[in-house]
This record gives sequence, C-alpha cells and structure tokens, in this order.
Amino acid sequence: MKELFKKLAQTAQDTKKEFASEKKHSEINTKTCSTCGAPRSKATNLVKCDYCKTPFMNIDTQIKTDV
Amino acid sequence: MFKFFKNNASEEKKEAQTENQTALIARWDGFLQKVETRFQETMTSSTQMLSQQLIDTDYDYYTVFRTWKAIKPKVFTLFDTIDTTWKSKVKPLMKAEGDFWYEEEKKRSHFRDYLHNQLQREELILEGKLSLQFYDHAIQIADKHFNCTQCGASLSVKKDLFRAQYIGCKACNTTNTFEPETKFLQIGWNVVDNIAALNALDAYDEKEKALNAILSKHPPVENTLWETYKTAYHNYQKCYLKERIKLRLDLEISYQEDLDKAMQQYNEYEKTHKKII
Repeated sequence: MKELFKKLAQTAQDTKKEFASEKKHSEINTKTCSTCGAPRSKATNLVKCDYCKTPFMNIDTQIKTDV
Repeated sequence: MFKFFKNNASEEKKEAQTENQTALIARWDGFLQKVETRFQETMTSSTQMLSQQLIDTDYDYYTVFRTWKAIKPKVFTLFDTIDTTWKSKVKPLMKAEGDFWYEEEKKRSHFRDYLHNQLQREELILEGKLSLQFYDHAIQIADKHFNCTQCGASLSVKKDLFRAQYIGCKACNTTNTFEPETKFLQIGWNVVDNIAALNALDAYDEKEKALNAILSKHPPVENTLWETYKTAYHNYQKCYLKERIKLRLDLEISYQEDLDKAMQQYNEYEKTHKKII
C-alpha cells in the first residue's frame, strides 16, 4: 500500500499544472485618482474619487471598505 | 460493524444448518471481515500519508486531493472483490449445499451498501481533516505584517473574507487594497465547505441514520419515517451552512437562499423516491 501510495502521490505531483495566475505573495496597493492623484479614503464610496468625483469604476453601486 | 450483519442470522436458522453450510458461512464471513479491515486500514494510512504529502508539497492542496482521487478507485476495486468472489466462488459452493445462499446474497448486498456509506463518511472526515490542516497553515498569511502604502501604519487583514480586501488605514484614512496570495484565496473555495461538513458530522450521521431507516424498509414506507428524514436533512443543512458562515462571513447573505435550495433538492428526492421505495 505504501509503495502504491508513493507512486500515486508522485504522479499527482508530476502532472501538476502550473497556472500563471497563481500568486505566491500577498500585496498591498493603493489606487490613486488619475485626475487629482488622491488615494481613496476610508468610509467613502470607493467607486469614485471623493475629492474630484472622477470614477474609479463604471458601475452603479456603492462599495465600502471591508475593514 | 461487520458483527452486526453476522449476528442477524437467527438461532433457529443456525440450528438448521448442516456442518458444511456452517463452514461455508464462516469462511464467507471471514472474507467479508477481512475486506472491512483492509478498507479501514486503507483509510487510516491514506489519511496519514495525505497529511504528510500536504506538508511535503508546501501545502499544495489540489495535488494532495488529486492523489486522493487516485487512491479512491483502489478502494472501489477492493469493494468489487466482494461481488467477484461471491459470484465466482462462494455462490456456486453454497448453492450446492442448499437454499441458504439466498440469505447470504442479501448479506452481501447489505454489506456492500454499508461499505459504500462508510466510504462516503470516511471521505468526508478525510477531506475535512486535510482542509483543516491546510486552513491552519494558510490562515497565517493574514497574520503577516502589512503596512499602509501612504503612512506605513500597520493594517489588519480580515480572517473570514477570502478575496481581495479593501482595508482602511486607521491612521491616515487611506483605503488600501490587499491582494492575497492564492493559498489564502483557496481557503474560501472548498476548504471552508469541507471543514464545515466535518464540523456538522453529528448532524450528518443523524441524517444518514434517518435515510437508512427508509431504505431498509419494504415498501410502502411509513410517512413518519419520511418526516423524520426531512427534519434530519433540514437540521444537517442548517448546521452545515452555519458552520460555513463561522469561517466565511460573506456567506451569511446567502444563508436562506442556500437552505431553500438544499430543501428544494430534498423535495425533488422525496418526490422521485417516495413512489419507488
């Protein structure tokens, strides 16, 4: 059983597909407004710039921060 | 558990058996017992080895699960030996000794169903344990130090939200976007589901017990048994969905919808099977 398992485990590892989209590290970014350069502030609607109202996204909904 | 099937033969029947019949039954029982032992051993060693593979592959969850998917057919091959041995060896020998083979054929069928149910349960436990091991490792990603890109203040990542997160900085009010590595995202896929299923195991057992009570009856099955099953099914789904929410808060919104969908599936099952069973 152990030998069989080793063989199956090895096959699973050898046939693994590497996906380009796989991220190995987490990142922190800040999106800034393309017009006025302001970052998005907490407790505002993240869809548009709170200072100059330039849209960040073209969607008709409100997005708030998660934390 | 095999003893349960073995002891079902009544004392009266045992007395009526000839020596040859008794010997054949004992050999057959011994064979079935061996299959069950082998099955249990396979599941125990698979759990240990897959757990080790998870560590060896640096928590490559899907490779480990592909290994399990390769092991599973070997378990079915083991189950198949029951039928092949019965048809090719045991049944002809028993037929030559009298009509008692019919009872033994029923035993074979019940035992096979029992093993399939056991496999389903053991698989649920195995997947749950591996998922829990993966979760304990991958959740630590949230504990790493992340700082605000504008002022450098430390940020805290939510541990029950497995997607990109908008994190507001408490110092400068800037919204930072946390883009987690794939392992953190994977928790939100079926890892959470498997852990929830493991945590709802008691309710699962109740549900299966109620279903088996229906399946073991000769038709027509009383309505009370269907009602018991419906209640057990409902309880299991509630328990499972609540366990999922404990780990993934965003699932709270779809709780009622998910429960309704599950009950709709139950209604479909009852509608189809009530006529047959």
